[in-house]
Amino acid sequence: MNKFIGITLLLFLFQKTFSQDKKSFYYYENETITLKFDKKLEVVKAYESSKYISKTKDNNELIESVGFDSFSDVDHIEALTTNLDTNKKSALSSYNIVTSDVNLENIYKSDYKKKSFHYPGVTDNSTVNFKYTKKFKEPKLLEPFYFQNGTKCLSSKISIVVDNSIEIGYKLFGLGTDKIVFTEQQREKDRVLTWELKDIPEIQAEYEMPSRSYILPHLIYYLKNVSNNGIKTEYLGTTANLYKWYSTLAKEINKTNQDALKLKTLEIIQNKTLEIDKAKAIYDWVQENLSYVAFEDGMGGFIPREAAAIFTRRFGDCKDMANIMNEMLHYAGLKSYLTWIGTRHKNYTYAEVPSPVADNHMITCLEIGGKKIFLDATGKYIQFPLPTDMIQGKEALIGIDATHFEIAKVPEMDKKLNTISINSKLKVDGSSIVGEIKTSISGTNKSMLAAYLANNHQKEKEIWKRMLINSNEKIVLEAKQTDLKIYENTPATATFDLTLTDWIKQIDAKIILKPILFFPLRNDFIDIDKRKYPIEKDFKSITKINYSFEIPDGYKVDFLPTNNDIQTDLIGFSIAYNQTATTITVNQEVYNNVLLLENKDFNTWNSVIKKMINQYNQSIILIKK
Amino acid sequence: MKKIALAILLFLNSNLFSQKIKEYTWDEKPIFAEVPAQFKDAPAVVLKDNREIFVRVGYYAFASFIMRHEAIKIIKSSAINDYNKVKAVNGLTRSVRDFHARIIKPNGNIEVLAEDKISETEVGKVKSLVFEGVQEGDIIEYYYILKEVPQSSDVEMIQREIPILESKMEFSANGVTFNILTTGDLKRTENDGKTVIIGKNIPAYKEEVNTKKIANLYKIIYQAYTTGVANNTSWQPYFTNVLGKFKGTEISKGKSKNFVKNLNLNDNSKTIDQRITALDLYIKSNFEFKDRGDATKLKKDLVDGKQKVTYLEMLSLVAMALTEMKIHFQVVATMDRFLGDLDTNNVYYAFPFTYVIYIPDTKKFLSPFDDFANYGYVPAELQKTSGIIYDCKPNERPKCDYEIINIPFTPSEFTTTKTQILLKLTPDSQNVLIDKTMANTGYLGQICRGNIREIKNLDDTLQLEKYVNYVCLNGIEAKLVDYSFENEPIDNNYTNTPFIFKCKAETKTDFIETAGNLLLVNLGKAIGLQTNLYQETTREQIVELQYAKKYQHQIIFDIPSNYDVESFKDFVVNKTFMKNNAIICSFISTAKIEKSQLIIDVIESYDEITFDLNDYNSYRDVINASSDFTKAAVILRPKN
Repeated sequence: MNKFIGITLLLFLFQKTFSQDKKSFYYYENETITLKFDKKLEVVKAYESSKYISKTKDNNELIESVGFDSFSDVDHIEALTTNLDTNKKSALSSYNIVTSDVNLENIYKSDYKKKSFHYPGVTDNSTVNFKYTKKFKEPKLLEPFYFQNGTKCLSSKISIVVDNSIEIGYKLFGLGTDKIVFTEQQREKDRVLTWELKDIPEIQAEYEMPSRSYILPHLIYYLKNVSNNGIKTEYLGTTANLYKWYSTLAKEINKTNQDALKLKTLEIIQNKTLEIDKAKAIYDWVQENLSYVAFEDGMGGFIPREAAAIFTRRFGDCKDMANIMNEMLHYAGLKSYLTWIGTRHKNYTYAEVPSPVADNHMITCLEIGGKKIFLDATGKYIQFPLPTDMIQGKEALIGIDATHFEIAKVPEMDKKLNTISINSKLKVDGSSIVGEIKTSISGTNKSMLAAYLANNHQKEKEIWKRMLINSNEKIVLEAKQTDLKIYENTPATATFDLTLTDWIKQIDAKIILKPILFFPLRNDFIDIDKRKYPIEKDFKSITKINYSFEIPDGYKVDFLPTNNDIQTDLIGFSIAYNQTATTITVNQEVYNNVLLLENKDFNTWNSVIKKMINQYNQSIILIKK
Repeated sequence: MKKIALAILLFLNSNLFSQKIKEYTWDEKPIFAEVPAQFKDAPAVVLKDNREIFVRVGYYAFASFIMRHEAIKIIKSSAINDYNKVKAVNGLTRSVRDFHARIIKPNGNIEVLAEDKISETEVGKVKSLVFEGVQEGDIIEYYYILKEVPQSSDVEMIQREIPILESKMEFSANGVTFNILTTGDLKRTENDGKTVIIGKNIPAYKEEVNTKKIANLYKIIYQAYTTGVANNTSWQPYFTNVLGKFKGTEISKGKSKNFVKNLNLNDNSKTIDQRITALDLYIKSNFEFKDRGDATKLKKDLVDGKQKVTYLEMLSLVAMALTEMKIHFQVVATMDRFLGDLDTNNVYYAFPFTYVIYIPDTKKFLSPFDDFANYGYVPAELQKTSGIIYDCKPNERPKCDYEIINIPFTPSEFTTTKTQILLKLTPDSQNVLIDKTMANTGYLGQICRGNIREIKNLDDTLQLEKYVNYVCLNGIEAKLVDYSFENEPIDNNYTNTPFIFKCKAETKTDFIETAGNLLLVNLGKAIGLQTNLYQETTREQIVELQYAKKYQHQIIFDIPSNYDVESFKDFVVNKTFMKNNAIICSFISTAKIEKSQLIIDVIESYDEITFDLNDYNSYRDVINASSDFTKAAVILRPKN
């Protein structure tokens, strides 16, 4: 039964529309940010847009909302609809603006709110004009400006009006920033910086695309300092200034009695003498016993909660987990630090963006024998001492003490740490392959397995199998033994009986045996003509498979494919065939060695995949003796 | 006197119920049943799921007190994060009377969560809490009572992703009577004027493909109405009050009269079929539904090009036009079979139903709410359902006599896919050129026709190409070189004329295999990616397909002149499932060589939409045969 039939309805279900349809688009989207100092600092954003609505079929287009939180206020919302057929205008009444809490996925409590409304009197072929102002109460927390979004836009512009007494920093990021036109105008009391991009297409989502900070053109701006009567007040602009602020936020924590936490720590590390063992015991305890519950409530989004409270509650967010672990490591006599970091969603370094925009996460940096280990307890199933995949390769801001910090890069995990190994003993049985396979799964692969099992408890058997057979669903596995010790530094292991029916082709006295049964990366061929954006991989990994086939009685090997071995910095494989009098062994090794695959590397990638698939598709011929 | 006494008694009883729910509390030292062996592997088990609803008639509407009391044993620590957060909210209502939570430790110690741990959102005032200090083996327990909920009907889902040892839901009321429906193995008792519904040892719901999903879940659907007032939640008053003579919308009698006249729908030289087809085609071509917030007004003249209507206006338009055309029709209220079965006695507002229109004279259906389904068969999800009839005969007042209609299922001959695939090796023998024609009829034809029209209207070439790739080259790594469509206009739906895709492509990789000097060409892949059930060896729920269908593929492979065919036996397959001497589903393929071509013919059919658990293995064999076929290859040997 054709696969598309079942899901066509879901994927391509549209409401009826008619032939005059064209997509909606923005005529313009403008933001003006004013930073003014008149006795006190004021930062206000004025937003204005005009959008053409082709069809009212998409209800989302008829609703507008503006988000804010305890660090900002939204005001002066105005909207006007013009029916282009009748020229009738309908203005928004303030009574129709609704303020509501915003429920964000994975965040238990936040202070995010939104003001929303339905555009009044919208029909097909209308324009909607919309404006509002947003006042920023905390000038360190300014928002980036994205020139591109889900709707095509003819002109997208941001202007920043800065008092002469104020210094700001800014930088453009994303793809296509060379097309952004920058102008600067010095006026008597201020200067106006403007960036404008024209004819911006809508974003087309692609599989495994990196976060928008990598690809969409955007401007990040931040307040550096304000001068008043010869006194310069520093805000951001350097990593030191940023850290100074972070350090201030973190200095008033852990004032509650932590005796119970200390006792627990000592109990956990009892009988452990090596620093690394103590650290592992603490990390494992935090992972196992604390649940991730996110809070983004005012300064609660920046300041870790008391370690003693987290110890009692047994839940917390990244900051809370980082803090309790940091305290426990200290009780164990280890050197560790609270550490700020931007996950791979944030494509910035601290030097490029010395502002809170650069990071969104907190971890603990442990130092043993001069070596830094980055512990992220939110990765509930990540094995000590590996970093979670979301922080690999990212800069970490390590808070050494109240005034000192260090920037260090979290290492990218070597592919060998994330290995799936399969050893098989197989034989031909008529047109089938039968036998036994033993597998071991390590590193992030093991963490993934543990997470899937925890989240899909009814499908335990299926999940174990799925780890192996995604590339060949025809393989039937019957588990004989499975073993997963989540918090031990041992791989997950399993033994299965394998049956693969109708795999062998028999022609007269010949047996054609395709020895490769598992096909890692086979579906990773890139459609280069269509692909716009780089490809982000979760982690580097390697799959090693050993097939050992019994040669059927009365048969001998007539043809063995030639070995192949292609290694590049990005991807590689090797397949080697050997035979003895009674067995044929095939060793297959496939790896992905890249986290972010850039467009310039697509050809190399595809050429390896193509050769690999060719090799996958080679068969052995056995003939009667 | 007796009546007064009864009234007093009822009043006292009602007050008692209301008082009772307000005073609801948990046992100081609760005793829960042991987790039975069959649930021991679950990450958590619901020990108690108590729900109560008390409804009274409020000042302007019904007002309910809703109580939820739950105790969950955490068996594995991985489940803590799934169950340690509770939000006291029902729909938009969050007026909380009581909200308490506690943890019962394995040693029996009880830790009650302090009230100040309950947080509240700033604007919506939604109260919620996170259980503190939960560990493996703990029981987390909470209850809350919401007050003055302006709600008289709802669907209470009982079954969930973890097992439930005991589930109890109680209904009590003041001046209100309930209609209650249940699905799954739930027992209902009436006790002291209360209705109690109990479930024991309810297994966790298991996700499987092609099931009735929501329809299968244990659930309770209720509808309250005012006691003593005629029960307007039964179908007869509902139809009369809500639909009446279909005059409650902007579609006036005058407008509909002109509509029929202008479209010449009363042309007596035409058959009823032809007149209704003209009506349906005009509506499907010119009317669309408007969303909330769309201020488009209905034009004075209904035959004035493109129009937008609400769902009720659409029903009025069709019904009033049929009335004007003097055609006997029946409005049928029915329900998507994947959601559940319609109760033919009472209306449950919280349980969504839909309408189709049955024409007794032609025994065909009109589906005014479905964008793609034309006059003829019902939309796929309404097959094999029961509906209640609102009968509208010419010159008579519409009426409901609780007559039931069993909506038939649509035979597999209606929905067919015929493909002809010409395949040729590239000169370097590395890839294959594909020339494919695919003709879809029935539900598939309607979907393809509708989708292509939508995408073309958006002027989105990229999306169009993606769609062609998705349908025609599904699962084949190939570069689409050219494509075109035939029979695009929607009037083809009425004659079930196939929607035709024509495309040319060249494979990029993975179509050719080798064994020494032998070439293995994976011709089976040409039919596209097929569903498989290789891993689904056991089944818990009945298989329910969207619709019956037939596929007919012909693969024609040009044998390269420098090769001989060594074998093509992979392509000879016969998997047939017969029941009561009839083929229920099958996958049959044959192959032959004619001149310099290998010709493979495949016929695959699913003549039923429901497969019992006893039939699962036979069904699975057929499904897997189609997937096996995609791995079949012709073996070519170089000529000496």
